[in-house]
Amino acid sequence: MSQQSSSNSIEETPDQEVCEGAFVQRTGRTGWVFPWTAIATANTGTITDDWVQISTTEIAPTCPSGFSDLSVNVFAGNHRFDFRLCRIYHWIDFRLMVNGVAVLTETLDHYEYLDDRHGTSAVTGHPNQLEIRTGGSWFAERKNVPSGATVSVEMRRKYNFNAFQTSGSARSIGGLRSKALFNFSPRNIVTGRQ
Amino acid sequence: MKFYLLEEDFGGAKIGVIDDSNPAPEGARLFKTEKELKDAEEAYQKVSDKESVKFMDELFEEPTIEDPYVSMTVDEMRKFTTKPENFAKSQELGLDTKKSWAEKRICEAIYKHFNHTN
Repeated sequence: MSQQSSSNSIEETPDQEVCEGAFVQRTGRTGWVFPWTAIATANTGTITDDWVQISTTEIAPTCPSGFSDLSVNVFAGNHRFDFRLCRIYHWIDFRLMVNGVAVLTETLDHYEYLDDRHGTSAVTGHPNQLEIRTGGSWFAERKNVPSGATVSVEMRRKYNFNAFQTSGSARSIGGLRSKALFNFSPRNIVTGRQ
Repeated sequence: MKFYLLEEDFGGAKIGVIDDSNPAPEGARLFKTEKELKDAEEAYQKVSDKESVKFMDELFEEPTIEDPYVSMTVDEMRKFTTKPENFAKSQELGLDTKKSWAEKRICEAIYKHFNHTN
C-alpha cells in the first residue's frame, strides 16, 4: 500500500499510476483587450469585433488515461463607455480553445445596455457620461481533454450605438483585468484498495 | 470531428465539437465538416444580429412600472413635480425640489428613473 508522505509527494509503487498536476491553472490578467472603438455620432449597426485571447495559454495535466475533465471560470473584465445622447447595446461572446480548436462557443452571453437620451430636442452643453461596468462571468466545461493540451479562452464584443440625438456620441474600450481559471479533474479517481 | 450549432433565444447560439464525452445538446443542428458549421454560423449571424437588437429595443420600449410618470413628457414631469401637492412624491424619488436650478436635473432623474436607465 502506498502512503502519502508529510511533504505531500506520493511514494511510487509498482502497480501505481499517478496523474500529475498541476490541476489548477489561472491565466494572467489583461489590460484593455478590446481597444477603443471609433467615436460614433450616428447609428453604427451591429459591429462584431475579432476574437481576442484572455491572457495566457495554459497546459492540461498529464494523466495515465491520457485525458482529464476541465471546468473553466472566466471574468470578462471591466468595460468603459463614454457616451451622451444615444443608446449603447453591448454583448460579449466567449469560446473555449483546446489545442487551438474552438470546442465550445457561446454567443451573446453577456448583455450591457446604456441610455442617455433626453426628452427635450434642444439639450445643449450636455457632457459625456462615463460609465465602467463589469463584463460578467462565463462558465464552461469540456470532458476528455488530452494530456498536455493547450487550453485558452477567447472573447469578442459586439456593439451597436444607436438612437443618436443632436450632438450625441459614443465610444467604448473594454476587457480590463479579464482572466480565466482552469480546473482539471482526473477522469478516474481511485479512492482505496480492498 | 463533428460539430453542432444550437440556436437560442434572442439571437444567442451554442456551438461546439462533438465526441463521445461531449455530446450535442438536445435540439442542436449537427454538421460533419467545419465548413458546413462555418456556413451555418454565418447564416445565423444575420438572424442573430437582428434578433439581439430587437430584444434590446423591446427592453427599452416596454414600460415595466405601472405609473403615470411613464407616459409623461419631460414638460409634464416638470409641471407635476413643481406643484406643492406633489412635493412628497418628488422627495420619495430622492429629488431636491427646493432649489430652482435643480429643475432640469429633477426632470432628467425622473425620466431616467422610470425608464430604468439609472
